[in-house]
Amino acid sequence: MAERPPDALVLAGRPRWGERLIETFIHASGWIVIGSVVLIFVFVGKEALPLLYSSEVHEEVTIPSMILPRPEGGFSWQPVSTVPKYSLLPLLVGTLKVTIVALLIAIPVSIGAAIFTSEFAPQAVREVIKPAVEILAGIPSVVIGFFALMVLASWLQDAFGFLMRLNAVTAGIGLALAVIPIVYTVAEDALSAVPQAFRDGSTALGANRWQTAWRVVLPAAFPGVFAACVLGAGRAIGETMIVLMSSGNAATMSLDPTQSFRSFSASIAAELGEAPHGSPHYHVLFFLGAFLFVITFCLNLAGQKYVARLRARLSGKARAKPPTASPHIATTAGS
Amino acid sequence: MRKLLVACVAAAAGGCSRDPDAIVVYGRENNSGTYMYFKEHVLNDQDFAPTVQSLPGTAAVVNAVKKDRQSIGYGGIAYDKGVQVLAVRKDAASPAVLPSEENVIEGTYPISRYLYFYTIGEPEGALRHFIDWARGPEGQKICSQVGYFPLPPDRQAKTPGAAPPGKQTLTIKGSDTMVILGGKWVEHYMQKHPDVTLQVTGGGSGTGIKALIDGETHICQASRPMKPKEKEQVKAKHGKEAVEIAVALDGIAVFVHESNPLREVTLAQLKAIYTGQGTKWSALGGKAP
Repeated sequence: MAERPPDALVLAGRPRWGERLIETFIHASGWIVIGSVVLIFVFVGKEALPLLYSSEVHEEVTIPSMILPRPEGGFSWQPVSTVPKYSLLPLLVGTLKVTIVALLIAIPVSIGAAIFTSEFAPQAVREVIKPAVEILAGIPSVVIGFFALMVLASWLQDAFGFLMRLNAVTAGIGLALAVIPIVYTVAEDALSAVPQAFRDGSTALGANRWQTAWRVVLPAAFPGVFAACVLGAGRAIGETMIVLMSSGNAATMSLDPTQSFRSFSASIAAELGEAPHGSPHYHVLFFLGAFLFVITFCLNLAGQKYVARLRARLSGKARAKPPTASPHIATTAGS
Repeated sequence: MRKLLVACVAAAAGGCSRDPDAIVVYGRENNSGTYMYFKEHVLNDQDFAPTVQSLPGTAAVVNAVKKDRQSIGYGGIAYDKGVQVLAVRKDAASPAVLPSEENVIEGTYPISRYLYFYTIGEPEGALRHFIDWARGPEGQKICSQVGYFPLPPDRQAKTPGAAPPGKQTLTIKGSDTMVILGGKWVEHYMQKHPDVTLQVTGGGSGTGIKALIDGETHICQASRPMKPKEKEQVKAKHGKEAVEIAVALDGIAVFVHESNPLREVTLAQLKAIYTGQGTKWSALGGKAP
């Protein structure tokens, strides 16, 4: 990209083969990305499928047995047991619990920060906040998980007196640290892309900066901001390391955020190493993986559809070019 | 939005009114040999309660118990720093026994186990030489250095003589508990017998046994005995029996926070705590920590 010729003259002087080589390379890159998504899906699907037809697997687990209550009552995830039990519900409850807590924290903070940087902050402050958020995005999740496990859990237990050190509040805050940079970056792009004319017009009508930001800029950028939230939700559901380290991994059905929980992604990470290749347990874990894949895929798809509709409606009313970060960012980064 | 806020505040307040008599229970992830051992020998093969928080690695359990006044945990004896180790009674009438070296070797400590090597058929040549060396005085001294216990004298081997001639490469795979021990053995052994190259990898006891069945490793390290079904698979695939060789002893320690006044526990109490019978600290004969 850095070698882009400054003008047409230089371009004309270049040998054609170099150009063709670069063109081939770019084409190949595109296909590699598509190919790897397809291959991953095929691989995960292939390992999950025996759950549907293999009679050997069915002796231990079937799809209805994973969804319906256990014959002895209740739902239970006990894959290593004389009678292995694979109820999905405790893991679903855990995953949703932590995702909701993380989003409740991450969305207000990151959208607030995005509005501040795009509408209020002086240039100097903006130049500090944006790189700071980028650094936050660059922190490996295992480091955030370690921080949540060792430091955050103790602080929160001292402050609120939680019975369990590791719970959905601790993990949710850790997870929020990973989600904030994603939501912030996309939301900030969307807000910055709102044409200056909108703000000028609003100011000319007598609105102050706050009214302009809240009533004009934010609604105009809403599709992009919404896409940012969907992207954040996808990350929160799939994030593994932070949850594995700071959730306590107890597969309870409790909705109480101060209780420990077990998520889909952490179960896969913790158990796949020991599940013998080809065993029912192994196939169930791949089924969880496929299930997660489908959830994030649907989330992105629904988000994209909703954004497209919203944009059509907004542009129809405003008769202006839709000023947003395009929602296709959500699909590429999300998958 | 307001409703959610109220719910959050209520939840935080609910956390504040915690029961000081409740036991917070920590255990291992279900991929560990220690988890299996505890389940079979303490829980009599019943399931762990869903509220047992499972952590990856004994070190993580010790760390969690160290920070949590109301907690209890279990794990390999090699890790018991900064926590109160409990003496264990086999039943109410038996004496309370601490997991000391003496008690574990004599077998009076109720939750101790052998650590094993498995091979396909009787080991021969360099394989036999290495295993005998590990079971001999030099290898057993390393057990103690790493934090496990040596075998009782009658199960130890004599230090073997020179290794059989010729270059050899052998692989060892299995239990994560035993990775450090195996690594130390190999390191010292290879210094003495440079013709033999040994490679050690972990993955868990089950992974090692699977590799042995598939013929992908010479030695499988396991922190639990092989199941009859697994032995049958070895026999069916290779036409030889899986040979079990005890190489070290390990005690599973039960620990609580340092401030906890409790000093001993029975196996029945442990079972009640870990299967979720709603046991409280006061029911263990002590007061709440």
